Amino acid sequence: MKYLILLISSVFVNNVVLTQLFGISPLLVVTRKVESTIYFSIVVATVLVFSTILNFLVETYILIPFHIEYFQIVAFVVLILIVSRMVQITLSNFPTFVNRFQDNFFVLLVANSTILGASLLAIKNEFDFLTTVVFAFGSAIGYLLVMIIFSAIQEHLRLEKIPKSMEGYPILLIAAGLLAMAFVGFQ
Amino acid sequence: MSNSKSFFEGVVSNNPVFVFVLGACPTLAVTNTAIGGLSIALCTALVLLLSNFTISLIKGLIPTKVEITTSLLIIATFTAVIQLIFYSQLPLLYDKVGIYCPLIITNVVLLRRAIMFAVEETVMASIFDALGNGIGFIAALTLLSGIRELLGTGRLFEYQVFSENFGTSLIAMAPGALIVLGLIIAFFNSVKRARKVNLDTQGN
Repeated sequence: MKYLILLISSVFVNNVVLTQLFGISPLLVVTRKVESTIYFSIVVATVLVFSTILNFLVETYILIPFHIEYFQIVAFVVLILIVSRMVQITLSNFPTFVNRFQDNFFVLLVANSTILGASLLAIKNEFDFLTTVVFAFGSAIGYLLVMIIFSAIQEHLRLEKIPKSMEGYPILLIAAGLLAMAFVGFQ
Repeated sequence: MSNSKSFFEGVVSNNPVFVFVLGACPTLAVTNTAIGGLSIALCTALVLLLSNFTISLIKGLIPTKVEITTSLLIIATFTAVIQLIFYSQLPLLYDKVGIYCPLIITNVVLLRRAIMFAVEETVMASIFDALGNGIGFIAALTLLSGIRELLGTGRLFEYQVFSENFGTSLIAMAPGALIVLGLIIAFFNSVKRARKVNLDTQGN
């Protein structure tokens, strides 16, 4: 029961994107089409789950016992790089996946604060192993949910008539703000 | 490009926050108080300066294949250094910034300046570029967080400006960050458009 509550709260109440404001930049850049957004968010969610769990293990079994917590950030970045590279190599077997992103793909993966943010949150909240796993899955589902909702909003916005100076990022930021307001309502 | 030109481009016409909105994103969550916004912007500017300097120093040694990886690791190292200094010297401010300090690594501005500028230009040029972008970043985030603190709590730099009942807590929460940033960028866009129209009519 405890884990179910944690899962639901990390999907809705403490959504990584809209209440913690992690990874807003991919939210604005990638979500032009629903289809490619789904592909991208699945990749990010996979990296997020694996790297959060791995980062937790490294923190508890390597960094803390050897008193080298100051390596935390560098170690996490290296791990995220490794996981992203592995996911990218795995995905290169599926050309439909990779052709969508090409060069930008890797940068968007590593420069995504959702992944690093989720790992840091799990450690800051002093979760144990099972809680971290549940939290990682919850965050990944929450990420998928927000990305897909937002890409649908963006497809609609393209058909609307928008004031000239609001075009582009401003209207997207305000739309994201209104969506965030809905998620704040869960609290 | 001359040094002073690249400096002013970073501050005004190519401001990393208002032109490429993306730079502000990893820091949005701490912009609910002016001091929080200022301190995270200061950290980001310092990391930008140090990483730009280092990457332009060793640019000949980095193979193009691992450019992104190397730049990221350099940025990560300097972020860790800045975080430790911040933690030991200014613990009160560090509490405000919290876990958003390590997230400086994921700031697209840093990686963009590193890959697009520092690996090609001389050391001096990249220092000036970093200074310009850093100051632009600090100005933009201070503006954003000042507006949010003023409207959200009625205070500015923790000094009570309006009465205590003035604040709208929504502006101080997560949705407020996105909405206020969107409105600021819309304002700058409309100013830019008005100036462009002015120039066009003068030309004719």
